[in-house]
Amino acid sequence: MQRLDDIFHLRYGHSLELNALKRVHAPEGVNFVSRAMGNNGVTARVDVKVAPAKAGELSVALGGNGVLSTFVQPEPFVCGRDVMILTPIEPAMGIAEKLWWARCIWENRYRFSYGRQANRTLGSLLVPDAAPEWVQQTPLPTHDGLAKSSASPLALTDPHGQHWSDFTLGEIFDIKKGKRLTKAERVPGKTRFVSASEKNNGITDMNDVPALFPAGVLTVVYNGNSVGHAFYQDEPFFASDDVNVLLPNGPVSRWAQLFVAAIIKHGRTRFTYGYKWTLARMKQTVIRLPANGNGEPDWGYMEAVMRGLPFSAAIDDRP
Amino acid sequence: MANERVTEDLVDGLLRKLGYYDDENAIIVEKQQSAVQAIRTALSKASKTGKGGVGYPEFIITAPGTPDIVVIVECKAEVSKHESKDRDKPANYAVDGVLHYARHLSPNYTVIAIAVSGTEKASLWSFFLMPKGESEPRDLLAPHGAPVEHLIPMDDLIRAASFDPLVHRQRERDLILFSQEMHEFMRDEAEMSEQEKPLAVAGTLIALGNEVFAKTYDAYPAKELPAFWMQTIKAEVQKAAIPVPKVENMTQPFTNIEVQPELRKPTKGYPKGLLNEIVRLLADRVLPFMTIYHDYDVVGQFYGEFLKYTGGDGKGLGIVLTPKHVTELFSLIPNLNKDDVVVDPCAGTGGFLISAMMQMAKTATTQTELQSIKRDRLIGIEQRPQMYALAASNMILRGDGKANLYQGSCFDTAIVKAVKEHVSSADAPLRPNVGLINPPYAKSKSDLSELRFVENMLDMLDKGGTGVAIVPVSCATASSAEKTNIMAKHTLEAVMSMPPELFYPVGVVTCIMVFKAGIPHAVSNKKSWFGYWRDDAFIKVKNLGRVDHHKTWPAIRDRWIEAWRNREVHPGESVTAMVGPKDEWVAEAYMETDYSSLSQKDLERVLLDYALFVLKGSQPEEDAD
Repeated sequence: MQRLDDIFHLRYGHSLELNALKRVHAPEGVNFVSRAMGNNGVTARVDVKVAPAKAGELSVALGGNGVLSTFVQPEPFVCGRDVMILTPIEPAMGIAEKLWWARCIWENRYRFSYGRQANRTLGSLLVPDAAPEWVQQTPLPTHDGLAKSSASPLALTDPHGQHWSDFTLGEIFDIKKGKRLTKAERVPGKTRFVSASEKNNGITDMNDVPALFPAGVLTVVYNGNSVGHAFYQDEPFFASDDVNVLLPNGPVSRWAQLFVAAIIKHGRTRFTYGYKWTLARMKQTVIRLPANGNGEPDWGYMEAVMRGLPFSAAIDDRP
Repeated sequence: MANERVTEDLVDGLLRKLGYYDDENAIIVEKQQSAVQAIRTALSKASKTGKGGVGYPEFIITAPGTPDIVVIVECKAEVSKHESKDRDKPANYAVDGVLHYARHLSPNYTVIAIAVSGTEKASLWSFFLMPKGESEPRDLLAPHGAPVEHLIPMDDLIRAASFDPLVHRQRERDLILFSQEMHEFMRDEAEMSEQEKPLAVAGTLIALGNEVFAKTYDAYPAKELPAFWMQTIKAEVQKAAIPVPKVENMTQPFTNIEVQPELRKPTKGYPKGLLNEIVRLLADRVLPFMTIYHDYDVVGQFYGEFLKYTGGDGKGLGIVLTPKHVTELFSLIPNLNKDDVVVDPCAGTGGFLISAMMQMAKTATTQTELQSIKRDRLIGIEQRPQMYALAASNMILRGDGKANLYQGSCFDTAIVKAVKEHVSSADAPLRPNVGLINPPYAKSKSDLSELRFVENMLDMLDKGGTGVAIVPVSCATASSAEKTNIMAKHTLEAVMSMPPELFYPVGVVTCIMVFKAGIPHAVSNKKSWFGYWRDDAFIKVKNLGRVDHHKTWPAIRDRWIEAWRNREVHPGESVTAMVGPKDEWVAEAYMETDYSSLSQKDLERVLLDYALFVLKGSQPEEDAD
């Protein structure tokens, strides 16, 4: 075992206050890294005068809920308070190895809490003497590999034009409500529990309950802050009572359903805590979709559009 | 064919013999139908044929003092009709029938179901218990664990049922939910302030301990009840033999409630006034728990829950109430027994003292020893008058101990002196040898830091005594003058890191420190034990707060305590280390991380997350939508 400061130079981050900074959009400005656990620790894009940390350096959160969240930053970045910047003493260290060390640091998070921050002691953390052989050989998934499309691109027709038409959700889907299952009643298990969340495809938990709905349908959050987030479920699941489930009336492919999910999500801003997207309202909701000559939804066209988009190849072999 | 009447007469005779008919107000024996509306409703569709008609058990027995338990008896003339194989023929068999009725009653009641068949010469008896909310019967067991086989007096039946852990749990739950109801009632109807609510409850419970008050309060008109209430409290406190100045101290906070205008006003909904309603609710719903259950902590639980919801943010009286399972740990860490003398310099509502009393009582064998524990061996100090009144009430409700409660600051030299020179009722010196403390957190003045309280407590203790404190973890990690001071005089035995959400909904991360008093750390010159008690397996349940939902606490508690008492070292759970005042006093600083479990799969996941982040063009999430 060796100390962390035997492998990395440690220095305090910029300790900037986000509310005093000017927010910008990429490609302007630099990433702002705070103590967040998600999104590689990046919470904003800001315009700053100070010299940013370099791409390839590591950020470590010293406190807060995400204490010891450690990320390799692919771009230059600045930090909020209680973030430390780590530079490998050995400049040739590869990304995979950096990520492995990041993970080693993260393994120590049990030592810290709101009451005990890592500021004083981060450098003295004990870590293994060296990264195992296999670390160097593990391939990093590439942008090109992930971003491929499954079919050739197809232009989207004008939603206001003649190839689109209005449908009520109730006529194209059989809409059902999920069932209440309180936290107190839930036991860990293998069934996906879909609830009012906009993350992780709406899945918040895995429970020991029989699935309530089959695979191949859409879920829409009707209640709460994430109202209107629509997800395609590719495995049987249990839906909480904050979720409405849209079962297609006929065979509709996963691609076409994903298209509909995007349209549904587009209309979510109308709904709030005070005006929920209840079952009755959802059945009456009118959405605009591409239509064929018979006035039916043009599922084939929707599928073709989706398959022509970047990243579609990555999920091509999914059911 | 034998006549079912004969069996009924047999039961009736036994009931008479066992005193069921002695006091019509205490036990109500009814046949076929009950006058209690809730029981009638429950049985109205309980016909044994299953056709939805009315059900008529032979006997329905209730005790108004225990409103949540009902006894039902079903008779059959022939022993051969006692029980069917699958217990599914309620019309023809006694056991089947009584369980059938019990299932209809158990949503609202804890049911003691008795099946009888045969005659005086040869009869069969079966006793079942169906706790409220359950639908499967269990055998009724006497408190010492043997199954009940003969008809026993009503009190014993109730005791047997109360002994059942499921019944106990259900009652605690009912109590928590009731405390929330009470809180809302006091807030919405009585417009009472945060400080007054717990006092009103404590005062009422004390007053209800007075038989005259309990029997006559209902006859007082709204305007006169508060005065009678106050008068009774004073009388009861005096009866508890507290010195006169303390009586004044203790009863003064209650006078604010007495003069509350809302409480004495008759309203449309409550013509007898709101105080009457409060007294009635507590008399009906809480008092039964206190009188039947001699196990003390049901009321402690009530207080805790009540104070938690009082104040909305859990700090109605500016206190961080110690969770019940922590007070339990505090009685186990110093391994309390009947010979110890315990002091709590920040007594609050008296939680530590009560749990200490329970633990010490377990080791007492004689009445004298029990007396000595309650009268001489529990000392508390509390500064705020309202809290003092609550603590004293709490002790009075549990029978004694209150004479050793001081009102004032625990830094007050006179009080410190009195505690150090504490004597028993027989004038034998009894300097406390165990100190338990949950000091006020984050008092702004630096000279009142949590560790100052701890040091002050340790100084009160006899040499070699044990001091236990729960403090914010920053006290243990930051270096401070107090740490140096404490180590110069006392030995740091152990520090346990507690669950981060222990004080939910108040967000403070804490640790428990254990000291040996009077021996400088350098003299002891030994390693301290550090426990990583971060997971008590409690989970947050809506409306109930943080609870031991999966009933795993006793096992975890025993494991922790065993590891501590034997100074065991387990990887990932505990570690020993030589520390000084400049070091961090927490397990987290000394435990080793096990990197061997770090696998290729873990890394692949990390790589994927990184790749996906790069793929998204490293846009902050809020802009990505």
